[in-house]
Amino acid sequence: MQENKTVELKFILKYPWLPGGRQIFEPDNNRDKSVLNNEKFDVKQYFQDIFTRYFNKYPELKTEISKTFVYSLEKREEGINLIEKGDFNVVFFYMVKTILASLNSRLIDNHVANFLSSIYYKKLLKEQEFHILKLANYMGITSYNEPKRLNGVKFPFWVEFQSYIPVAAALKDRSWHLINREIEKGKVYLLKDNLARLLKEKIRKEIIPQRIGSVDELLNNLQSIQDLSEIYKTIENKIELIKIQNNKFKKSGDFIDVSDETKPSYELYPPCIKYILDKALEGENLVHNERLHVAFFFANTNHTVEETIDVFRTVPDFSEEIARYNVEFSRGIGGKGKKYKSFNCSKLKSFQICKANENGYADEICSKGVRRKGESKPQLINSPLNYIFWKKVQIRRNRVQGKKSEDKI
Amino acid sequence: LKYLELLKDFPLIEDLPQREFAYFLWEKNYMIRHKGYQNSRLFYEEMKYFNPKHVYASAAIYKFPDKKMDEKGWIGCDFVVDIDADHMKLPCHHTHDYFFCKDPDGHGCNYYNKGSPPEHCPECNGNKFTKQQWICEDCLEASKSEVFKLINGFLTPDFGLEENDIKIVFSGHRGYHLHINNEKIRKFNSNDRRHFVDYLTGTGLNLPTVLKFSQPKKSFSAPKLSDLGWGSKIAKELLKIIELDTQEEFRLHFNRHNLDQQIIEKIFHKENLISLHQQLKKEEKFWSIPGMGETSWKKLNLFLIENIKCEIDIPVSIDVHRLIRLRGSIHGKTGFLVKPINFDDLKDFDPFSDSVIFPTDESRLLPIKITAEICPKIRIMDEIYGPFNKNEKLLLPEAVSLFLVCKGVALIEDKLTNV
Repeated sequence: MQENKTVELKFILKYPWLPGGRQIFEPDNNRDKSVLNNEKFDVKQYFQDIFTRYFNKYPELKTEISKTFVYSLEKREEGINLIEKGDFNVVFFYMVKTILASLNSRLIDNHVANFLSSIYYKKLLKEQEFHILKLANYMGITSYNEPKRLNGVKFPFWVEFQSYIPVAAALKDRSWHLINREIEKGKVYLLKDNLARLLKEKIRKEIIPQRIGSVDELLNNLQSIQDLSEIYKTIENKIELIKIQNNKFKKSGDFIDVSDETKPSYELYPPCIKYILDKALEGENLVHNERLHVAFFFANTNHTVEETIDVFRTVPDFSEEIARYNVEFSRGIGGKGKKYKSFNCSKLKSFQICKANENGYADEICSKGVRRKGESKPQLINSPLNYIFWKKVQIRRNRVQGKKSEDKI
Repeated sequence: LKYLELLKDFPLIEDLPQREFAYFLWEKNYMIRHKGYQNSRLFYEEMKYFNPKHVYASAAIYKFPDKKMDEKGWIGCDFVVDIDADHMKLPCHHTHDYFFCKDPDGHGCNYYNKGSPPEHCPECNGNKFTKQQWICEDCLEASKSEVFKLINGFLTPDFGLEENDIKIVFSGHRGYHLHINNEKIRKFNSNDRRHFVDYLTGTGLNLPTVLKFSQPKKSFSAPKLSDLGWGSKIAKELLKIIELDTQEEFRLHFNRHNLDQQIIEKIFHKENLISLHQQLKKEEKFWSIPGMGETSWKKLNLFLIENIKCEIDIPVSIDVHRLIRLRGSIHGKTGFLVKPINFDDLKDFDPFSDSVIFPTDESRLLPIKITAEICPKIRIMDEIYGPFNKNEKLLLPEAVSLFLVCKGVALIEDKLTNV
């Protein structure tokens, strides 16, 4: 039976993105009204009052918010405490969201949204079925608890397909495609963790702020608040540290070792791998074949298991346990002991993963091919592993040419 | 004038003020679009004045339909499915479709033959061809079957959509359009629509999960007839095949897609037929036939999927700004009415009679001259006309003459002009 849509307060206090949450956070919100009435309204003072009041009310707030941003950027899966005390959760949620809005960074949006939604997901798994159902309906996923037994498995819920598709379409794993679900008369039958996973995706979207108006002004206003300025400082420091690490990673091409024994650096990666790594770094979802491609490619280019798992840490549905199992499996650790080869180029093209002609990633080695000794015409490479060799050749040639030019000068 | 009077009875389109309209004029080969009308009277007046060749309305609804794309303010979009005989591999195409060695400017050796164009012309080695596609009873029957398959095999049993939720329209040419009216589906973005379409077209089916080959037993962990979704569809399709009894019957009913002869022989081996029938009926966990290995099972599965899936024009369904031929308009390539049909009437709907809008009797004859090398036969109402030869001068009922002129194979004789 579908639940009543009037949201109970106890739910809002636990799951603050629900309707009514913002009113609890900003009970005196007359910012919009002031615009309409053309009254003078001191936005700076407004934020000062509201944030200071909450920092005084909950001294632990500052630490929890700082930890949220730092742990998100560190790609951790847990570490913060969603304290269920009064309206703490509501205040925490909207403060994080407001800070995110002011930072105006897709990367941080995704990291924080992935981190927090994972935490809420774990919390949801501990909820009773009845509560999950209520929450789903509050969040616009029309769901019912009419259990059905299929192939010996009891499915406690069904979701109407019109609600299922828009959420599941964002999940890249094939098992979420409608075609691979149990569906009848518009009812998509789901297990408890299936529904919780859909909710996780909805929560992820709720965390990412819709930005209206001047973000710079918002940032200035918030930075003037003492406690918040300290949080901003912590975030800035963390971002600087990550930038340095990423630059090291990307720039390591300056110190390319052209021997075949070492693992290749970022500059030697083929466009298809660079594209996937950048996507993961942005916190975007990877489709199944993209994950496999990275796992197989890294397994065949002397990367460690840890380095491979690290690539997936930023993706929304990261689970260390699953990622480790799959990465190890691809290397023949466990299972049948079979080490997988890297995908070849024709397979990558069929998966639409080849980025030889993609803006920002296009590369002549891939798109135009290479000329081998004794051959008059260039030929296309057939494996991303070959790309590494030819890229090294290209770099060597460029160095020689550069040196020749210098000699001429 | 008669047509315009008839048109007044048609419920033209819902949410008319929020739709974008577009049309092609007879003498200009480009689309005039971004048109909006506050009411149907304004629309009719413009149509009467310009008398266009093709008329379209957006599947989408907008705040400002007459503005530029990025200023329209998208509100939602009907989910439209286009079923067109042109997208199906039908044997009849090889009997009535022709290609000519001729580019759009008329250059080429004019060599022609039936079927699809080759890579190079066998006469002059040219590679630019013009196609002349025709329609026949088989084309339109195949399209109609696909509509029934879509509604009875997918939209109703799997999605719970009833006849009232689905509007069926004869496109006026080679197929049908289905408009699904559902407020929530209207809000689907392209990616959401792609998921919906993938279900209808059997794309992304997780075969290793649905059908898993077990090497030691040389069998498949099989779906059951009582499963839901695609699993049961596969089981039911296989049952349909093995209930045919003979290879001849199989070839008669399943002639659209290829299956290796060896596999057909294995399935239709008498003992295998009985065994497989029992395995399906008893809903056994594995399907197994002596001599069928992993590759054969995979080929059989792909064949089953090919037969189950709906053959639809995918880009039409996933586009959220699509312009669709306006129901109630006349198709400029046939002169037939783009006609809405009730589901109950679909079985008996005959496009060659029920969508003919111009007179077919002796009272209104129109002289024409055949200008194309090839002019296959065509049935209008109960009469068969043609085939005709090039330069033949004819005096035919208006509906027939207009069909041939619209098809581009004839010109009106007294004026010798293309309509």
